[in-house]
Amino acid sequence: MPSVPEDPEAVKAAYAAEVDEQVEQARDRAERATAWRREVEALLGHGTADGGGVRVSVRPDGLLTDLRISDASAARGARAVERAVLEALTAAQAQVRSAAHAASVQAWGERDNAVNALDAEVRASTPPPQPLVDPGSPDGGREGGTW
Amino acid sequence: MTGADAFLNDVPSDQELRALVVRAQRAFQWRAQADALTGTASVEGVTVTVNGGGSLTALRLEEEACRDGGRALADRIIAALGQAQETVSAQLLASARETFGEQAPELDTIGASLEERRAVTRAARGGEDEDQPHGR
Repeated sequence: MPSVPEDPEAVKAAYAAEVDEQVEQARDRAERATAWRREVEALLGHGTADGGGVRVSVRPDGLLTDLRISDASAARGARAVERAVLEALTAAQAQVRSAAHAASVQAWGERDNAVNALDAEVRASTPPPQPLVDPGSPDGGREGGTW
Repeated sequence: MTGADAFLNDVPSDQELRALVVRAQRAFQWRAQADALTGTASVEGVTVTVNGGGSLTALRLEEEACRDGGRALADRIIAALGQAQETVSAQLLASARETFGEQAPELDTIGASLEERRAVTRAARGGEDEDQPHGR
């Protein structure tokens, strides 16, 4: 039996409905992306060292927003307080990376590409800080250490 | 109007698409250069290095920086951080002008981003800490 020709208007309407649905999905994803971006931008990571004598806060883009050093920590000397600042900063970076990952998973689900993309972006923005060594001296002119 | 209609009135020409591809390629090229930049500055016994994004990547303290308390030391570190960021910002703008051209809209976007960075670091410097003795 010959097939009944489809109504061109019905085909057109079906395609239009499909496109409308895809546009609606894209709009929903864009709205979620805006909310997610605002949430991530508002995150801060906090880290401490030297028993709380050094405290650091950083944003997901790696910018430092707060640094507090107690007089007692400063009195321990350059080497010790330098190590404490770097330790606190490293901890703050780890916390903000973790918080950004959690926000992404909540917004998109564990397997979404957006999660990996943001993880990579935040990781690149929060490189592990190092002591700055004087190139003229193997240990920067001071005692050695694990940094 | 259907969702499809929304896209049919604004279809870019081949020439416009080619221009967009060139801009995108330049943006990727510039981003790679920007990521590789570093800036270093020293303030009263504190030396700080930042990457192209303005993140602190290296720190060196001398004894003189620690002699008058935690708040003064923190202020010196933040001041050195701000100066290092200014150094790298100047490099970023120079490379952006070279890559995109003097009048490119990308320069406004980059300039706004650098201004935001400046404001963040300025805010980190400001304010008194009531929570002694940690304060800065």
